[in-house]
Amino acid sequence: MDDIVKYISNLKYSSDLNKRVESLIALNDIIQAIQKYEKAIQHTANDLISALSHVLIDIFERPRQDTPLRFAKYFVTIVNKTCQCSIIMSVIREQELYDLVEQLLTRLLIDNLNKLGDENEG
Amino acid sequence: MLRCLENCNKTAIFCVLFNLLRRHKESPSQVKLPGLIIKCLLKLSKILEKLIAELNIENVLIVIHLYLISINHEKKTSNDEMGIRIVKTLVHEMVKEKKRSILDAYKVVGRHEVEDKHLHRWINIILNTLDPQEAGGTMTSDSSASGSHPEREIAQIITELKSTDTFQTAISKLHNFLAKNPRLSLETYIRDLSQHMKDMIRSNLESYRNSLCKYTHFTLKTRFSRSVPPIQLILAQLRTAISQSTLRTDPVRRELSRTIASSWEWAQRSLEAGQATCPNPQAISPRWLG
Repeated sequence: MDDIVKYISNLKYSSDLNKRVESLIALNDIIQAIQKYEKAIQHTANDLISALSHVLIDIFERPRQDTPLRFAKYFVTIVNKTCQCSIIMSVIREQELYDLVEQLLTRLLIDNLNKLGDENEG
Repeated sequence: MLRCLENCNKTAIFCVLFNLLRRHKESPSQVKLPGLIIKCLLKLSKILEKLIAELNIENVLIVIHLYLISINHEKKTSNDEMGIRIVKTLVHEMVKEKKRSILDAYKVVGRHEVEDKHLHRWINIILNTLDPQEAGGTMTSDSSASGSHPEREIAQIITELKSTDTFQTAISKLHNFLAKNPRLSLETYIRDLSQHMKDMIRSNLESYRNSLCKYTHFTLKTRFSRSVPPIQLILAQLRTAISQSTLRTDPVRRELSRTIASSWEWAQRSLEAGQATCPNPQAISPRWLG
């Protein structure tokens, strides 16, 4: 569980992009093998969702050049995978869910988001 | 978006979406957001039957109440109209699922510091529609004892009033309804409608009443003046009918009483002059009353 807490913390607060990417990769691995980490991830699920909301604000409120598009895309993929995971989502409190949904809906309304990037890969 | 939420607590989804709608309904920086939230709620309302059993009704009712009191009901936007429609669908499904036990869950709204002007009324209307036999306790009108259902009847009339095709017929139904239920106030039932609609209903109702008075006066005079003999009997019946009956709207009643009084005198004079006789009362048909 300590590792999960560390990954969440790095993802949320680290200014080092490499650390944030490593955290995302580790969280992805945990979600892939969720049964194995069920108790630990449920214990930290609300912190994870809160971190995702925080990073969404971080990505979209800063100037575009501050965040590499690949990181943003990978992050959104992890958000999607997390939301599909019933073991995590079934224990999420209303406030954490509120913050995440507000961020997702707000960002969905950004015009031409899908055309972002050199090859329209947004 | 909803696929992202499908594994969450269902009550939390509704609470989050209604709370977001309440917060952003007039937000100038997020003009499109209310529309998107409404879309999510609309999609959810389409699969309500599957979700309803999992909902914590108390929590949903209180967020609905908070949402409803955030709306200016005199000046609703299209998003408000849509939101209210979703609320009604949701309340309908909850009442269908919980039946009368929803009233226990509703207590949480009753205890809220801001008075509820909508939810309880809607719940009662739906309860009356779903189970008229059991709904007697929720009735508030005169005719509840006689087994009719004014709440349901007025809900139907209000629906008809909203359509231009049925508006005029609904006005006459509304007139009859108010005459039958003199203690019920029209304002209670039309308070959710737009100001324009309210004004239109009031003015049409007034015109209908006036036309009815004129027509009644004219009809009684012309029919009785050419009438068949048992006129006094008919007038007596009319008098009794009016005193007991549904015609309690003042202008109509006054006009009728005046007409009857003058017709009575005319009939009396005709009888005395031998121009009219009073035959077998059994032969009198109600249709003579016009």
